[in-house]
Amino acid sequence: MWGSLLEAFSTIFSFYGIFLMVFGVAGGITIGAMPGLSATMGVALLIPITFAMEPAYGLILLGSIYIGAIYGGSISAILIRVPGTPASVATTLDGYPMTVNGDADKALKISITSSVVGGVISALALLFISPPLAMIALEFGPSEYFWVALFGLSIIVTLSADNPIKGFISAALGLFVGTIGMDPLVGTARFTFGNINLLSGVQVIVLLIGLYSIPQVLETLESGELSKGISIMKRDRIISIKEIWAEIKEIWPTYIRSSILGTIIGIIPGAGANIASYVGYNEGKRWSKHPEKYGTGYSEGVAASEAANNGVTGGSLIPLLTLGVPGNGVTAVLIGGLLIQGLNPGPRLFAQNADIVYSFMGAILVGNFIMLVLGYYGANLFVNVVKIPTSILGPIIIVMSIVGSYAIQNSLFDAGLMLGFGLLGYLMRKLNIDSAPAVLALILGPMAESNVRRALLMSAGNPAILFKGLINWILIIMIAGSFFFAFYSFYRERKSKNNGNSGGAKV
Amino acid sequence: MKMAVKDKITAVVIMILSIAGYMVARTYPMGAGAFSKSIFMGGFVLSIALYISTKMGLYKNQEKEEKINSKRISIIIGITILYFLLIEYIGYFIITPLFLFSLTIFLGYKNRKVLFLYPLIFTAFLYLVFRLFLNVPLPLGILAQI
Repeated sequence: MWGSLLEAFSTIFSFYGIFLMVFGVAGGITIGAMPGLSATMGVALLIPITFAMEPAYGLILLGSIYIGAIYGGSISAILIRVPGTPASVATTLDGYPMTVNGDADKALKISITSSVVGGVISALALLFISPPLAMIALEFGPSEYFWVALFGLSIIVTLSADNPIKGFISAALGLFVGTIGMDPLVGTARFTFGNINLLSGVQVIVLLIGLYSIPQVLETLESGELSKGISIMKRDRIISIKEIWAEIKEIWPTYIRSSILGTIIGIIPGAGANIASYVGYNEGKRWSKHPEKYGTGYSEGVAASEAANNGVTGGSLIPLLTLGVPGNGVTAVLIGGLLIQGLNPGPRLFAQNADIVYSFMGAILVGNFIMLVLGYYGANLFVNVVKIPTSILGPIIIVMSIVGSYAIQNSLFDAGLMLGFGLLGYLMRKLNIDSAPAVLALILGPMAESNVRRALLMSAGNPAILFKGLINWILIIMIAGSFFFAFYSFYRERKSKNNGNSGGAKV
Repeated sequence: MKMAVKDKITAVVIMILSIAGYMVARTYPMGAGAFSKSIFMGGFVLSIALYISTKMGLYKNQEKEEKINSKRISIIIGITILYFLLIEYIGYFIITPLFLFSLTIFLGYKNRKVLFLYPLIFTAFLYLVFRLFLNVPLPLGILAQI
């Protein structure tokens, strides 16, 4: 491990590597700070650009964008009370009141320091937990992988969908799209309708750009909100490093607690940065010496949410790199990025492409320190991007989506397919069907199918092989548990709502 | 439209698509068809579940306000599709600035200097990124004949 890590550092600390990290983190912060541009969309839109790079550098760029974007959302959350990404919704609760009280500078500095602590702790977890986990995962055979894929699917539907039936419908759509093209084992063309472009299947990234960028843009443009840009509140008190240090010394347990919570939540497939920020905030309040100050513009509240959402970054990469299972939208997009580089995420990646994996993990760690510098001194510059009206930003994103999906294979067919998925995604939004399960199912579906068929080939068609051994049974029980949990919590929530009690904030 | 009504329509559409998909999947050899068939069977069951759930009053007290501005959104989608269809024939260089310009004007942006300059600058910037950096040729359309 140490050898690979040292080798990776020579890639990361090359001129090109540093340039990409600075560019990626700054670009990520910009994307994150723009309301309407989520981290997922940002990474998806930029994947076509990484296509021409060497895999290690492409991943360094994508990782830097990821961490930057999750942090960037807090800037607009604090200054204009519009969370730049869903991950920063909880940051508005204390961040914006701080701005109103004239403490915007302090809020921004607490936000960047806590984000970096969350990011570094989770990056260290990623570095130290992934290699041994990958070693265990290497022992998995096709039957275990089949259940892992199913578990990923079931828990994602459970956690991401408001209504489990609709979540599964969305997943079924993704599974269907995943079967389009040549069948992986015997080569039958499935659902290609004679179209030669579909023989190699639907590019994951085409579906991703379509589902994550077009519906969001259409909805923003349709509502006409923010189309004239927003004026930004002036900041009053400027805080020195010494004062920030004194503040951190007082609230450091929150930094650590939220970072660890965020990392753990990140590891769980399905729970993303938005859930982490709420959990971090609620736990921060519960353990705080001054819970009554939460919501009034208290720096600890900002730290509790921000350390947690950046904690997710490294955590969410653990199942991605060790099992090939994407835990949330951004990691699904990152899998798309790995796939177009010809890399198959999973434990074998550690064995075969250790240099790439370690460069990626190292960049997540080092990128956080770059983010500290950029965020600490430049937060007030990044917020200027919210002045760009959506009537300009929207058309630009549409062009980038079309040109980007075209560029992957020089194929206008892909661009059209992307647009088709985009319109479908818009329709799904109107029908309250979450598109995340579809995206994750597109990745997990082929994984489930090829593994179950491989297992059955090995056993000459006897399905008993799927139920042999302890690991299989543990996975099966986890799947059953997540189904039970999904329908139970859905039922309970509806019941309480129907009784006229709308309940607290939905997490 | 109420959510329950929308859900009923969705359920029926999914049911029809699942049956159609199953019929297609049946023609594939056993190994290749089994997984597809099970997806469509799942889709069929889900469509029934969705239909039944509309009868259970799940959306009581929580109908969201409809925010569909159909005229505005149809024009936005229309301009976008037109852009995609024309890019091959007219070419990236001509159609992209026109698309950016017309959509921004339609959305009500008024600053003339920005309105004329930004489509050109962005089109050139994206060309530089894709052509020079990534080596991806963008469709030239009618410019190719010159």
